[in-house]
Parts: sequence; structure tokens; C-alpha cells
Amino acid sequence: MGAAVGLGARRRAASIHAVQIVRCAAALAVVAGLAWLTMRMVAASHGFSESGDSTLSEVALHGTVALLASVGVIHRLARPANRYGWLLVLIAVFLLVTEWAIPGATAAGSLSAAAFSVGLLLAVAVPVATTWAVLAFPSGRVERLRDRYLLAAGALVFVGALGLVPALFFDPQAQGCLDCPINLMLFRGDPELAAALSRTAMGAALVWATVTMLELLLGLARMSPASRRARGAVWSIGVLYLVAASAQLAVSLDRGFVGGLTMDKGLWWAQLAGLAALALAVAFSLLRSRAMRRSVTGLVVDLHREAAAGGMREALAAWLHDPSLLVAYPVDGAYRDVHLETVDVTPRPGRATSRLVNDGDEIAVLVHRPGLLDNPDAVREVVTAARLGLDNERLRAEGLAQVRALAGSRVRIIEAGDRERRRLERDLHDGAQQRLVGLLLGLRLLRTTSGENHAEVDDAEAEIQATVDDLRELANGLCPNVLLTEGFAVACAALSETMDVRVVDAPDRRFPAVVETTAYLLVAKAAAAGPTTVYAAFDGDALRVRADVAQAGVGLAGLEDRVNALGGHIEVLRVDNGKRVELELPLAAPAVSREVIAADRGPQ
Amino acid sequence: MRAVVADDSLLTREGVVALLTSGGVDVVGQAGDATTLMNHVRVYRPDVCVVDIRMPPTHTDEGIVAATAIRSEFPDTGVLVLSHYIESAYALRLIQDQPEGIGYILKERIFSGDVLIDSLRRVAEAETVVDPTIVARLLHRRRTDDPVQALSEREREVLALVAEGLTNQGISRRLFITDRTVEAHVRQIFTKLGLDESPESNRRVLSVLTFLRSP
Repeated sequence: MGAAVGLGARRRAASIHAVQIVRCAAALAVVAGLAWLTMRMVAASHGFSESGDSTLSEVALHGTVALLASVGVIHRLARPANRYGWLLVLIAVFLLVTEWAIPGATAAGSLSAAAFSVGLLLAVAVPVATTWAVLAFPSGRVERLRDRYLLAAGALVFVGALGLVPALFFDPQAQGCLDCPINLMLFRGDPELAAALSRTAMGAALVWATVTMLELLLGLARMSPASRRARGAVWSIGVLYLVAASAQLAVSLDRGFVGGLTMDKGLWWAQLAGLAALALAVAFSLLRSRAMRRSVTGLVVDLHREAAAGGMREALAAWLHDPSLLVAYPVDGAYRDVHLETVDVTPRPGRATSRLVNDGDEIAVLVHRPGLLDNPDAVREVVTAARLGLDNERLRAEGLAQVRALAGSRVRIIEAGDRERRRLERDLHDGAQQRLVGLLLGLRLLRTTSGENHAEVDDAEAEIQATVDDLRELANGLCPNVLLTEGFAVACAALSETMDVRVVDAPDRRFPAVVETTAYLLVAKAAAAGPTTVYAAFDGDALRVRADVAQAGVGLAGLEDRVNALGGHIEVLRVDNGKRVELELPLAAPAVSREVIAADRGPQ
Repeated sequence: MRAVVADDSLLTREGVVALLTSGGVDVVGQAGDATTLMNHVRVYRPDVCVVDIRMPPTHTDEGIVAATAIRSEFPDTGVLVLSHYIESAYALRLIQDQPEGIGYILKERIFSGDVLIDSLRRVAEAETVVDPTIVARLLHRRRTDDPVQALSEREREVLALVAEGLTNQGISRRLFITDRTVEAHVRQIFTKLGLDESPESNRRVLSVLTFLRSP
């Protein structure tokens, strides 16, 4: 089974929604405060800042920060169980911090040394945070272990080797920046060493960025179409961003430090554009899933109106772009589709399954292409949008199952009645009839041994013989043995030997016992009413019997219910000289009948 | 004449055995089901078997199945099937594979006169025996364009006896007429019914019964 996430989690999330809003507001306030601080720093030393050389670039920087932070916060609110939004807020903060290692950091007042030092430490932290945001999209978690190692290595290189280690030997005052705040991390001022270490770290950073780009490109190539639709844009943006970041590292390699006045402004713009694009891609994914949810909800409304069974499968298949998608509902302890066909929900290569759960109750299972719903958000999305429709179809399937069970039990009751008639016939034969025959035999032997003729014995014999005949008629009326052993056509022919029945046509083959009995009962009841002509035919699905009775009234009491239970149809029409009864009995409905034949005939 | 009797009802079986013994028939074996019957037939090789149609396990048509098996496995053993039912379908099923040495009569009929012994003797002599009740029923069926109606009273009498499996000699004895007259009647009947006359009395039983049962 895939991820099992449902509305239960969503409901719990609703209760802490207020906390969420407060947190998001606080985050926005912090970002705004930091942005304001950054603006003051940049204003204090235009020349040293990367954004400060023009109003346009400053607006672009803060615009990107605002975009990242707001998309992050919105994502956080729209997906309460998903922490992805915080990653965008983190990138926004890191982006601001890149501006802090400048003399203008003094604008931070008493915190200026701290701000300046943080600026030095996190000068190139954005690429790592961005890679994190790419790899964690859209679930907020980095699932694969090697991706986690990659991120840890990135943090070590970009923050440790490229930020912390050179800063240990960088004394801004000694380098001639008398306005600069103090570097809190300074261990020993050694510009040569700082530059050498920085260059080495940049080399390592370039290697890391290359590995990461390859990793992303490889991942893009291997993604399933469904995954590519969901994550392709973000991953591609991540690659392009890393190309720009690597290029900046490459051009800075000679200088020994990243950033500064001489850096290629074009690359800076490219990275900024990449980050803005990332924020927009995330925002777009939110909007798209919202739109899809709306369309599925609209479909649910349509479904309700049109009451078309199986519509949910069509809707979800279209929504999730998987034409082979199957929807299975838990009905009677098995997974079935709307038509009650059993669905195999065991995951196997090429087919994944996702359980849709609402408040702990399983409402459906989707069988789909792998990679389609492999994050809890997607599953939750489906549950939210399609719950009503799925519930509707599940209830419909349960109702259908009940109707079928009821129909099955009606047939079984009729079959039980037929069995009972056969049993009665058998008991009559093996009991009373046998005893009377034995009695006849006794009288016959008595006559033989005594050698005399007695009129009383003759009368008794005649009386017993009449009783045997009566019993035979009675037993035959219950269930003729010939119907059981030879079938409908022969039983009708036998009826024609004692009653006014003419069988014009009857299919010479066996049918389920319950069908044969019902058809025979019709002929027997018609024959009891008057001279009858029988036409019977089998068309591969149903046995059709037409009985023309030359009599005004035909008593068919009980036969209608029987025929209805078997899913058949019976009609009495008025014809010129009597009644015409038309009967149609499908063979498919009473599925249990074959077993009944076998059980009745016993092992042979 | 050596016989094996098969009936699951002990009362009937003993009665039949008593009737046979008093009629001078040597009852060599008794069976309560079809399997025992077959074993007895294999061991004793009787001239005839008297078999009840309904026996365990299903109490439907075991007797007919056993009779067919005996006739094909032991052609020298005749089988007389006793039945509570008057079913032409069963009679036809019995005689349509090999009409010789097989009989189907109503059970209670054996208690009047010497019907049982007579029938057994005919079966043992490879004749065919069909219960008169069945033939009577078949003759009185309502049919469209019934050629039976075109037969004279005497011809209908002869037809009934042909259907019961009697030979020409048997018919002549029964009706107190000469063999030659019976032959003439039979030829006339077969022509009127449009049947190919078979010189062999057993085969003509089958064709007459089949004709009578047709709609």
C-alpha cells in the first residue's frame, strides 16, 4: 500500500490553524524586518553591495525575497502538514544575508558585528538551500539517503569551507576596510591563507555543484511521466540556477572570494531570476492542484446529478493522467469496482496502489502507475476533492452487492423449495409406496399359498392398487422423476402422454434444475387449465416457453414470483380461443443452480 | 432359469424372490444397490436380472444405468427393469441401444397373474418387454394429423402388442388369430404409419415407440 493519509490529519490541522497563522505572520515579520535592515546596510555602503549599484537591482532583490517568503507562507497555510514552505522562507532569508558582509553592516547598530559575521558565514549559502528546496519538492522531505548526503556535503562546502574557514583568517580592518564591523569569527588575520583556502573551497563547491546538476539531470531523465509533470519544472529551474551559481564560482575562482564589485552582474541576475522562477513554479503547482480539485469537485456534483456508475474512475483517470487507473471500493471484505468486479489491489511492478482514508475509514483504493501518488499531499488532494463522489460510488456498490445478495437468496429459497419437493417425492416413493407394494405382494403370496380365491382379498388388492396409483399421481405432481433425470423436453413429452398437451418444439438439452422446474411448472399449470400447445426454444442466453391454452382462465399463482426471482419475465396474453403465456428465463442469473443439480444427483 | 434380484427395499426384494422361487426360478443373488448387482452378475452370470429403477445413492435412474451396463457387458443376460413410474422416456432409453433381452414394466403389475414370470421368460429369450400402460398412453396422445386414427380397431390392437414387444407368434396367441394374419396386419400398419418394416420384432418395437412418442 502506498501512503495512507486522509482527512483526519486535515481536520486536526484545522484546529491548529490559528497557531499556523501566527507562525506564518511572525515569519513574514522577521523577513520584513531583515529586509528593512538589509536595505539600511546597503544604503550605508552602496558600492560594496551587490544589489545596491542600482535601484532596479535592489527592487529585484527585495521583490524576489518577498516572492519567496510569501509563496513559502502561502504554501505553509495551504498545506498544513507539509513543511516545504519554510524552505522558501529560508532561501529568502539567506538571499538577504548575502548582502550583510559589507561595511554598511554597521547600520545594524549594536548587532552590526554579528550581522557582518553572519554575512561572511552565509555569503554563499543560497545554492545549498535552493538545492534542498528542489530535492524536497513537493513533500517537504528529502526521501532518498544519497540526496541527504549530497545536501550535507553541500552545507559543509558552502557554509563550512567557503564561509567559515576563510572567515577565520579574514581581518576586514587589516584589509583596509576600516568602516567594516568586527569579524567575530576572526582567529588570525592572514589574507593569503584566507584566499588560498577560499579558492580550494570554491573548487570543491564547483565539484559539488557539478555533481548535483548531474544528479538532477539524471533524476529528470528517469522520472515517470507523472512525476515529471509534478516536479519537472522545479527540477529544471534548479539545474539552471545551479548553472548560473557554478558560473559565478568559476569566474570568482581567480579572485579567491565570491561576490564583490567585479563579479559578473549577468550571473547575479540569472540566479535571482532562477529563485523567482522557483517561487513561481511552487505557486503554480499550488494553483494547479487547486484548479484540479475544483474540476473534480465539479465532476462530483455532475456525478451526483447524472448518477453514472464508474464516473469517478473516468474523472480520476483524467485528473491524474493515467487512463489505466482503477478505483476499488471495500465491499463485503473484498476490493471491487462499481460493477462489483473484484479488483486486484496487490502492488506489483508497474502498478502502485494508494489507500484513500477518511477519518480512519478506508473509502477506496486507487490502482495506478507508480510515481503518481507517491507523496501524501497528492493522496490528500484526491481524498479532499473526490471524497463525496467516491463515497457515493462506494455506497452504490454496497447497495448493488446487497441487491445481488437478496436476489441470490430469493433464488436459493426457491431452490430449497424445489429440493424439498423432490425430497417429499422421494420419501413418498421410498416410504408409503414401498409399503403398499409390499402389502400387495403379501396378499399375492397369501393367495398363492392358500390356493383359494377370496372376494375380500380381491377388493383389498384393488383398493391398494388404487391408492398406489393416487400416490404416484401425487408424487409425480410434486416433482416428476423424469424431469430430474431426463430434463424439460422429455418431461413435457411425458406430460403429453397423460394430459392434453402437444409439444411442438422443445430444446433437447439440460438446463439448471431451477430453470427446468420453472418451465415445467408453467406447462403443467397450463395443461391443468385446458388443452395446451407448447413451443419452447433456447437462444443461448434464455429459455423461452410459449404455452397456448384453449381456456379463458389460467391459474399461474406463485409462478410470477418464481420467474421474477430468477430474473425472468412472464406474460399472459389474450388470444382468439384462450390464453397465451409467454415465459422467458435467463440461465445466467441463478448461478448456484449448477451446484444444485450436482448436489441433487449425488456422486455417481 | 437363474436370476439376480436388485431392489433397495428389502420388503419388495424378498417378495419378488418369493414370487420367482414359487414360479420355479432359481434366484442366485440379491442386491440392494447397483454396485452389488454388477458384482453378482459378474460372479453368477445369471440368465436374467430383475432391477428396481431407483436405487442408492441418488434414487433416480440407477437401475437404467445398471441395465444398460449389464446388457453391453453380458449380452447373454436379460434385464427386466421394475419401475414405479410409467415413463416412456425410460423405456425408450432402455431399448434404444439394444432392444433385445430388455424389459420395462410397472412394479405393481408383477403381483397379478404370471406377469413377472412371463416377462422374465421373454426377456431371457432376448425379446423386448414394454409395459402395456406406457403403450396405451402413447396410443392415446393427442397429435396433429394422427395416422394412428387411420388404423382399424384390430390394427390398433396389433400395434399395441407390437409396441409391447410381442413377436408375431406372441400376438397370434394373444389375439387367437393365425401368424399369417398377424403378418398381414403388421405390414398394413407399417405402411399406414409410413414406417420401414423391419422383419426383426425387437427393432420394430423401437421404431413404433419412437413414432408414437414423436409430437
